[in-house]
Amino acid sequence: MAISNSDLHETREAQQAILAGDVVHTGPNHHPQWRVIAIDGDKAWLRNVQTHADGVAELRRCRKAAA
Amino acid sequence: MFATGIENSIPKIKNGTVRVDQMEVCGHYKHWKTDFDCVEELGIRFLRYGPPIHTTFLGPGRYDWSFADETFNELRRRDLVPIVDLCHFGVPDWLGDFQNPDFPEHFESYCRAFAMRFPWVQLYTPVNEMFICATFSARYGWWNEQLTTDRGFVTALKHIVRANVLGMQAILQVRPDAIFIQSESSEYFHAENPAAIKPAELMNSMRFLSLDLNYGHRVDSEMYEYLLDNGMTYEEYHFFMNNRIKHHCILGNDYYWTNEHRVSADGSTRASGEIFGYSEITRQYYDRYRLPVMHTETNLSEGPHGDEAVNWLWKEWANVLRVRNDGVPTIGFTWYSLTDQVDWDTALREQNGRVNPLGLYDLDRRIRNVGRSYRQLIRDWATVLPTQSVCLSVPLVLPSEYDDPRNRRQAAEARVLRTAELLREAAAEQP
Repeated sequence: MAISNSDLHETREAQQAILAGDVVHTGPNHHPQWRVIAIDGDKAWLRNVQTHADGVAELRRCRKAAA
Repeated sequence: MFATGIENSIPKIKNGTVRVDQMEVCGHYKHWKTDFDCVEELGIRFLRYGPPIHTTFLGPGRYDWSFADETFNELRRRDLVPIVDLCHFGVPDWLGDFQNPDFPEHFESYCRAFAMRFPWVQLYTPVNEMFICATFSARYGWWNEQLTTDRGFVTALKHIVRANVLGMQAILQVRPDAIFIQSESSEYFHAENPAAIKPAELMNSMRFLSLDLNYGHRVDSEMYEYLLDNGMTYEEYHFFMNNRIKHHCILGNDYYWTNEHRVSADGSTRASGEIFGYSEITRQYYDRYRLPVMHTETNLSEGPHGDEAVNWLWKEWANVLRVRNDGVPTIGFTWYSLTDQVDWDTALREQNGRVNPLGLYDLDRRIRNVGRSYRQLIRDWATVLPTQSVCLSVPLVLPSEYDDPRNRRQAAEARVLRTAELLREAAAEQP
């Protein structure tokens, strides 16, 4: 399968320490962005910074959004 | 036909003082070559695309084709097939808004001028989502004229659909084998209790108005009274009923999570979420118009799990297959749009700069999970679907084939047929 230019640009980052209050994204793209409301074990309670919709995601998928 | 599109909405908001330009805010003017690279990267051959009418159509008989020349020549060079969207929710400043009775004839001339400049273009959506355009502009009061009246809505609707019909006729004069893939919102209104049945039935009739007029399909008696009570004349109605252009058309329909509605007894509505889904609603539209169908818009924002849009894509594709396997001639699917959009969470009424993460690529032109999935879907199904029937296929002429002598026969035959159609129409109008 041909590798896309976009795939080549995707960087893999070391797992970061994520805390409540951090703004994160949960995929390789910088949007959507989520504010971490709480962390419980391997799950993070997230709130969309734009729509304010809540969701739950695996903590391991969270990456801090660039400032 | 697997397609995507470049989002090119250009309504005016804030009482006509602010122009929304989605191609600007999504970075297309800057990144158009990269956007075309992305289209090809996904294996897509068909692109819903159009020049920005507000900066192209400068006045009666005056055009600035500079951006269109660059981009359309590049599409032709790449042999990408545009489905040309000539009017996407707005008009140039000098035309005002959709209440302007001169809009249809001016738009007709614009369509003719475009077709003459780019005669290799075969597929068109002259006016995008006519029902939505009229509703948001003149019933909800969100865009352009920002009216909230039935009369305003009927005025906008009749001007928009007349523009679409005249535009199709003008394009056929230049390109008699042109094919029109309408893109219209496909909706359903669910009564939430017995007292809401009457208003829901009314809305379910009204949802067909733009396509009824466009395809010359008689409206029901209640809708006829509604149209005439709100400013449409007998002559205007019969202009639409005497239009014989349907056989050049593919019914393109759009489906989003917000397309189904719950209706209360007082006639107010709210989104119901998906209840019937694309396949059931499309069967209703097909039963009414008996035209080949193409799914011309859908999307969903990516969420915290990263697979929300992917799951929506697969579910919509399953719906398209259901429709196809039930015997409705189905010719294509579209994820709209290529990139993320901006401020559609407020239906473009506000300029908050909020990124809507629903594209195949984000605004940095990095692929999304749904882009990867769509690429795989195209690879899996591209060689399967054309074999549904070799006897029924869209008579498509690729940009690279336009000058091919073998296609001149198709064009000549189309011109003979179109001439015969016009003669029959003229004879039918004789007293």
